Amino acid sequence: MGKIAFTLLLLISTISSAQIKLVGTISSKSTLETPVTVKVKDSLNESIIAYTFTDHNNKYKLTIDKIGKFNLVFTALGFEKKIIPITITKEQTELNTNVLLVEKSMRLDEVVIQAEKAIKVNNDTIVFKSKFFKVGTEETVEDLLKNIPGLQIDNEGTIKVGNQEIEKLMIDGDDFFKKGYKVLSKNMPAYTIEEIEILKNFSNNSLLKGIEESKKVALNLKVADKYKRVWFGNLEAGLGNNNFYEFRGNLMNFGKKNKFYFLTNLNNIGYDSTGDLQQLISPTGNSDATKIGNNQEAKQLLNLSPSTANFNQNRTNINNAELASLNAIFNPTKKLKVKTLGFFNWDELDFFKNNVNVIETEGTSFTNIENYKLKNQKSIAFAKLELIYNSSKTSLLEATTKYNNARFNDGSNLQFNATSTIQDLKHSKTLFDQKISYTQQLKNKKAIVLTGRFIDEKAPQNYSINRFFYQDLFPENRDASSVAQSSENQMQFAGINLNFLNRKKSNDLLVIQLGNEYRKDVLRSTFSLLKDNDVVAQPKAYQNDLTYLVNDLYFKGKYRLEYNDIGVTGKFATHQLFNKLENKQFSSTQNPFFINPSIGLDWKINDKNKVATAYSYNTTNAKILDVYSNFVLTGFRSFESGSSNFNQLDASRFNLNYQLGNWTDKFFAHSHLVYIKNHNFLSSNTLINQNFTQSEKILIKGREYFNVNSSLDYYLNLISSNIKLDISYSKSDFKNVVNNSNLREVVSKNYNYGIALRSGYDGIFNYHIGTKWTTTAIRTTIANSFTDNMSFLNLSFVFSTKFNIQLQSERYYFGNLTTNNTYYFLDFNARYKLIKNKLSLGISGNNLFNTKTFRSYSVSDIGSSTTEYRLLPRFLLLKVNYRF
Amino acid sequence: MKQILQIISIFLFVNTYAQNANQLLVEYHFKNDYYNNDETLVVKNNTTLYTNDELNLTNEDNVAQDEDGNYLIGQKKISLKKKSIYGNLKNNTYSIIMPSKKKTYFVKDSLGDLDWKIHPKDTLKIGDYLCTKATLNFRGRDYIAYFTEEIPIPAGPWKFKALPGLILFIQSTSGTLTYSWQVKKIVLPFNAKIDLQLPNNFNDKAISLKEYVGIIDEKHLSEVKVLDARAPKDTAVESTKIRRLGIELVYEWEK
Repeated sequence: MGKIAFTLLLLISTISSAQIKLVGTISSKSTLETPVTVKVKDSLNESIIAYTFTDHNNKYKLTIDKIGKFNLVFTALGFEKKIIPITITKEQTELNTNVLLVEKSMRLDEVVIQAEKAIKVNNDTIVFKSKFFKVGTEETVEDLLKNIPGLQIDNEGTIKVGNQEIEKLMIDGDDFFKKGYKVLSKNMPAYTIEEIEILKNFSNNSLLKGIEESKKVALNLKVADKYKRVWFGNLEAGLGNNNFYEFRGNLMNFGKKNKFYFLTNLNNIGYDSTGDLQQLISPTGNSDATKIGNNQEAKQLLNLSPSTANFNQNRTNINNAELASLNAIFNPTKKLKVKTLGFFNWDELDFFKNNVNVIETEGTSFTNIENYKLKNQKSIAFAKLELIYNSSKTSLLEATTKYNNARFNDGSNLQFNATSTIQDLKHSKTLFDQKISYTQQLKNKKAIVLTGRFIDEKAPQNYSINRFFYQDLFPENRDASSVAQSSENQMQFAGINLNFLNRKKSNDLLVIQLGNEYRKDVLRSTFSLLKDNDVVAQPKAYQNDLTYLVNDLYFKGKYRLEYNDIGVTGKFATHQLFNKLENKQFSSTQNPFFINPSIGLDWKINDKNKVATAYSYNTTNAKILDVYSNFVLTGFRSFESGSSNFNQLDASRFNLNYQLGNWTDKFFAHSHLVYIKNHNFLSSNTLINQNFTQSEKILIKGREYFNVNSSLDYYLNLISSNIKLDISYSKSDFKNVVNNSNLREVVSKNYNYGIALRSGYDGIFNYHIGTKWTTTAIRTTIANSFTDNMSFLNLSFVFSTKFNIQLQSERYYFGNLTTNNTYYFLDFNARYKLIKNKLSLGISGNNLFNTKTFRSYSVSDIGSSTTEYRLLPRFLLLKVNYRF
Repeated sequence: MKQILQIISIFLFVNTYAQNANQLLVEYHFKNDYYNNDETLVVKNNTTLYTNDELNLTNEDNVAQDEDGNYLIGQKKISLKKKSIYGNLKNNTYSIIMPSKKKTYFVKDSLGDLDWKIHPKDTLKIGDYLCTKATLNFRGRDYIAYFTEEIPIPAGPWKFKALPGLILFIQSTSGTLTYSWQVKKIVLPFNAKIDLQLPNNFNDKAISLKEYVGIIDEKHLSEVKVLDARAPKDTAVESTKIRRLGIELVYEWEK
């Protein structure tokens, strides 16, 4: 045995004949505990050829396979460097060099270093070079982003940085999609991306970055030059029984200077595709300093749109929607950016419901039966042009022009207490909106933003009913046979706002705003009683011709202070209003002045307990639909009027938020409490008749609203499932007048309690089961209440990364219905990825139990109502999704 | 007897003084994508101790209010406890004291030889020191390091060692997240009295790195399960994977 080993050793040493072993022992006069570095260096260029360290016995052993002249260098901390020149020849196998090191103390000073990095972090921007993060299997941008540290992409494709969803996903600084970025991340090929930037504390206005309060994050993708101008996108087509279909297509191209994005969606499965567009039309970002006139729109008096309360609209909307959108961004020069957006949407919606309204109130009681067949047609054309001009590094000019033209043609065929009634509503909306804002960055984290906006909107409506139900209201015209109302709502808004932001050295933020907003509303309504298409009467109290002018000069300020774990935010808004009401007979003015203060406090008591609370006192000025004086028709049996007066409504609001534990803890709970006291508010004085209601707004003191909701999550290790409890309670208390009664109190209470259990298994199967009860009680002179229950069971089977099935079942139970009070629904969705990220097949089934109708029950302060909806029948859809 | 004691104490004094003359302190600036921190290496003869500063980061922008007036509260503090890595320059084992939120772990780690590749032509001046580039693949990440022969001690930050000179800069170049250490300060001789001895009870409580990693992985998996189980209604969870994001991504026993 020993012999064999010896022979082997010999053999090895002969094969590697060029190898030489350098060995030796190092000693010193004092104890030598520190390891000695032994290096073999090229005698000429001093580069290290081999190195080792001494062992516990201060011996070293080193093998090299080169011949020639070398330096053997011995170094150790606290000892003088020793260099011994050696010559290695072919014949040598071992060289023994023993050295004696001499102590030498060493003194060292501070050093500073600067080096190159793969990730750059400049304040709030983190830049990732994508080549470092590519694994090789990623196809789409979404796959690539999954590799980026700190980013989380859930199964829906929602991108989060930490726990916060990103604001937008930009391409070379340009953005089409805002929060609809999934269209991009799920389709754009990963290989085109060179760099990924995470922008923290992101501001939509780049000059306000680091100045304005922003918690937003955004991503910017930089496309490699050679991959610019690549066309990509996806197509999804689905076809089912009964001619059900769905088609979606996205096509895009991002060039160096110009970027294009086309989108289309056609379907008849109840999907409202304009939801996808909302982000494109009116981008979010309400906290922006340039916010002005955002909620200004012309109000419409009437609508015949389907209402489904707490029920999934996809089940009741029988539609046929077509949508196409074309978007482009041009960068003609480095300083100028031009964005255009246009879309056209056409939709036809059918909706069926039967209502049984039982009215039981102040001296009247009757039952109305309504069978509705509703057909809504709409066509919308929208165009937007945005110009962004960076005249210098510290100034920015933005101009946005929007134009929208929407036409609606709604018709309903109604059986009202067995009388056939046809309602016809033709209306349109025309909008022109121009906004210009100028930002100037000043020194020391200060900035001013000057914004101006002009909006002009017209919303005329023409409404007719082929029956006359209002004999009791118009006894002189009992022989009329039909009615019509044409109305014109016009709104003009002009506003200018100067915003000053100052981020103090202490990081506290001071914001001051000075502005003036002017709004003019014109409400003209003509109500006619007709006989054989001839006007027989136009009752005076049912015609309106009113101009309402509001000029609001305001000064607002906001300051946030932080001290340790406590933050205090104080705000105030001073308004000087100039109100003017005009009609043919009279004109009146009012110039109220008020201040709206608010104070907020947030306190992190410790890691587990967090509290935030706020109090505000708010005065709001009445809107056009609060002030008009004569009646308008707002439905086939309802008339309404405003209060015919200027009004300012005062309210106090208090809220409290408490959080126990953190979202990732096994136990997590939070509670939210709101109390609102309306010191005065607009209630109603209503006359109720079987054939009509007539309601006018009246000013009442004292309305209260209280809401508290709590949720509690506990993760049970034993069954790897999370149990969730939800409890909420709300109460509102106000007064109104019905049928010339005295002021009567209406108290409504709402209780919700639910429990759900969801598994977190890492295997194929997962479940989610839950149930929720809702109790509503309304008390006036009489009391009404009901309890509904909704339960669900969802099952998920993930057989592989290629194949999964999701099953969703729901059960609805309506406690106050004696018959047909329980409804079951089952839907499923299966997907098979044929070629990863390229081609997938799917099948979905909706309403598998083929439930034909759905009845729900509700109560109000004047009675109760049972509504039956017709549902989309069972359908199966075969889907193909192809990415190119 | 008294005399003998005196002699011994004099002897001890001289001895400690002599040892401190070679005690080296190196401060490194550690950085990853989330935070940066100061870390300290102390070397005396062949023993090393590597520690990080306790870190308590305050996130100033943790409270936000949305349009409805609801408050959103995020994590305000990141806290990092002091971790100690005891090593010996003459072997490849480390004894690590790793405090976590609830419990302190005592972990024994024995690495294999670090397979450094020296690039003698790539040099860089860091401060006044001429450094040479070296590369390494260690536990799932690639690294670029710069060491200087002018400080002849085979030590470096964290678990990095065994180059023919002190490591002044090292950075990961692969994998999710980037970690880097760069030298900030070197003090020699470092005269403070530092206890480089491992606590007596360490070996009684110690577990292997493999056991420790098992515990931590299990903990992360159960945290993710909590989140999966809290997903809202009608959202489907397709797959859940745990990916390590720490400095070490793959261990020898997993290959």
